[in-house]
Amino acid sequence: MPQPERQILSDEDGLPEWTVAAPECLAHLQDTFLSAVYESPELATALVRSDNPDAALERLRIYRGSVFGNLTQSLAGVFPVLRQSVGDTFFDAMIARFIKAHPPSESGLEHYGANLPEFVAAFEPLAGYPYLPDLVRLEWARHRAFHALDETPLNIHDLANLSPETQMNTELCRLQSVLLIASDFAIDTVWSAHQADSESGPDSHGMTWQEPVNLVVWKGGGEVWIRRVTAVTAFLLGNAQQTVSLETLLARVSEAFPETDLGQVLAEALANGWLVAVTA
Amino acid sequence: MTEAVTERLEGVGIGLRSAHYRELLARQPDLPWLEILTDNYLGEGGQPLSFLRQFATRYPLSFHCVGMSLGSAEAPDREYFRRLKRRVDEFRPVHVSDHLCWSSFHGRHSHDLLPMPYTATNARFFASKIQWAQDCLGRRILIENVSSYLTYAESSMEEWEFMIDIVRMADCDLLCDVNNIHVSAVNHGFDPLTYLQSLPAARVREIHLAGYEDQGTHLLDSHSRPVSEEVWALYRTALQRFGPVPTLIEWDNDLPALDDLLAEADKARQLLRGIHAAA
Repeated sequence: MPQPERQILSDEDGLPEWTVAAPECLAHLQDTFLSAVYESPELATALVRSDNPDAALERLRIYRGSVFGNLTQSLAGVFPVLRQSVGDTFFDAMIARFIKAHPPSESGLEHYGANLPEFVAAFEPLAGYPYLPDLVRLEWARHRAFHALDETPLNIHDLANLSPETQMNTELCRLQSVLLIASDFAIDTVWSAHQADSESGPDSHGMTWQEPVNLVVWKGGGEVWIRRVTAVTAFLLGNAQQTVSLETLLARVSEAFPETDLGQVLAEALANGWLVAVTA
Repeated sequence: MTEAVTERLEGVGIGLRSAHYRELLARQPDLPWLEILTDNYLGEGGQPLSFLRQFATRYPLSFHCVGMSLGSAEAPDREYFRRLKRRVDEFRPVHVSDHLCWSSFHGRHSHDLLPMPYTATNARFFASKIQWAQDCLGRRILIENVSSYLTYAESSMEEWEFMIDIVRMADCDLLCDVNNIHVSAVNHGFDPLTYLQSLPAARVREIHLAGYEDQGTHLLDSHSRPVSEEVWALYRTALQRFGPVPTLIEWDNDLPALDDLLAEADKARQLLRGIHAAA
């Protein structure tokens, strides 16, 4: 029996080099098959062994149904409040259009859905619900926080034990699991109303959600949390997206909000575990 | 290649699913091993990984992957394998497996297990990809047969013939999914016993059992039901042929209460023990 081609060379990432040419027939089949799944099953009937084109179509539709079903189920898990808000039937139909327009481009399913907020914002049938794109953004932020790197936040006591000069030179930034969302709508209230333990219930008849909010989404103690914060706190966390010294960070906050009690804002960020010390 | 695995799995395990994390940790049922869907733990960190670290101190693990996409007609996804290798090196699972399938091509991912066209050329290509994955991970991997719903016009051999060829060429092991054999046998009209009898018994290191749905025109591998009577019967035959191979109950959709899942695992354990006692 002929043996497969094989050549081992380590490259810089320590993984073996791949040098085998793929069969052209196989590449063509796979490209056509994915077009059948994401565009139209009619494109691939010639690939399938069957008595007639209709039978081939039926077989391809099983795969299309399976792929769309899996992706819809995954997105329903990430965006449960959106699903409740628009109803299961509407959600499934909208997501089918989303999947067709944006087939997954990464191997990790946890990355899929990042551009759903933009899709919802441009989705004409939902034009009368301007708060929905931000609500979707909030659900995506919760998903990202859940999967973000686990980091040990900077402890207020550790900081207090340093000399004032060392304190000010401490380089810090926001934890990767701490995300900021600004909205013109009270999407945190909408989100809470859709939770199982909500007393108000999700009924939004007669209510207006228009109310500018700054929200922090973060992970702590095994849960993902959402909290409404002041514009000052949002500014501080926004400026801590990249590494910055404590001195520079506080100077920026002080410049933007001269009346602010800096100690109080910093204490809030540290007490909630939103900042991490960055060592060189 | 060097056998990196010194520990062996025995008995009947269950698939670890997030809905059962807390109850499993609290109760710590007497299970010989757990299988994880590895792709859910390949991120930088996050809650699933911290749970996994807790389970790893209590249970031997089997890593079941869905993202190697070994049949894709392109180079392996190096980023995927970098992440996978890091996890394998950290946890040193007893088994690492993926499927006889492809999932993506040129930047479009199906996140599904799509069947291969069975030809000698494709078998050589698939075997090369397995060898690359094994060299990458520094260990032998297990390849699982998938359920399928179509046959390609260009296929020139049976699935089990393809499987036998790649095992021989790639020097890999097998994960025999008995439910998948039944589902495909019904969908394509072949005899499931022919499939079972053809596989190289010494290479079968793990068995999967699951439930399917009858859709009228075809059986769907849904992992949403108890194991069917036909599949239990086929499992008995598999145990007689392959010996007391470690077995997993897979359940992903309409997940039952943990006790129901453990009861299903217990049914498999009775059968496995019966065969073992008779041996």
